Amino acid sequence: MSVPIRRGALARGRGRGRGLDLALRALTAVALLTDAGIHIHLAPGYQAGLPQGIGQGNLFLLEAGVAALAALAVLLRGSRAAYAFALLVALSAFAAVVFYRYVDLPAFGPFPAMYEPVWYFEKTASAVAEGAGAVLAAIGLARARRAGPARRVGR
Amino acid sequence: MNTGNARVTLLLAAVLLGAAGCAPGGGTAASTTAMAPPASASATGSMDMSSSATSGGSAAANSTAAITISGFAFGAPLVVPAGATVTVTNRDSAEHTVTADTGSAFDVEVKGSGGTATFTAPSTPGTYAFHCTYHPNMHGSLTVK
Repeated sequence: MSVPIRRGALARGRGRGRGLDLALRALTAVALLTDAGIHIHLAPGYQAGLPQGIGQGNLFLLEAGVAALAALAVLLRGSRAAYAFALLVALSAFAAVVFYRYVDLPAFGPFPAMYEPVWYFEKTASAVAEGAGAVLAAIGLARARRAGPARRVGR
Repeated sequence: MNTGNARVTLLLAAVLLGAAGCAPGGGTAASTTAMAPPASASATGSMDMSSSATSGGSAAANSTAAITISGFAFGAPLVVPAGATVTVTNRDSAEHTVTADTGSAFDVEVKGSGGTATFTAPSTPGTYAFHCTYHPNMHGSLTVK
């Protein structure tokens, strides 16, 4: 037994879904770009303060570059791969900032000892942006998976 | 289905925007007075240390005081006689600076993992706010009597 669906209602639903997907892409990109901007802002000081190995500031710049790339990918493509990349970047950055807040891990390989047992505005804002970016990217990834293997969300 | 997703997305958007609008949570710098002429400063990477904080007193050319940096914090505000020698010990792994907020009253870099540096407190009484140029959350104050 089938329920008749009016064409207009279906079109409205699709339009709403497309708008939602575009908003999701924009918000994910904003979160990642916020994170990137804060890391670029903090990088010079942290590089001077901890130049051992690759240097903390250089790691910040690396993270910022990858986050900006993920933001662009989500914004321009909105594909499953783009969301998966964004999720990986945001989640790893969030895990790193929380980990080094609480765990005094000594330097290893090219990574300096980055233990910093404080929260302050910029650091908190970047952690919130990373966490929000990860959640948004996960939602985007789930929606893109549901939309089908070849379909990009928001198109 | 779409309505449920819309609610979730709007909620997350609100969280994100709310976080972005948070007021700054960094430390506040103490008010400063007119700065004294720049004082001499030196830094070493050695572990030798140091001395107790002093307060009050008159002529204090040979008085000493200490700032110990630990956990990305300068500790309690310090009160020293004018011209006292201030020894800074850094127990963090990262390098820090002790830099006067305004003027050039003092500015020393302190290596990490037990590095020390010394500077001479200004000769003009007043409260001198200082910060670490590398880490924007680090603020302290030095009061010269």
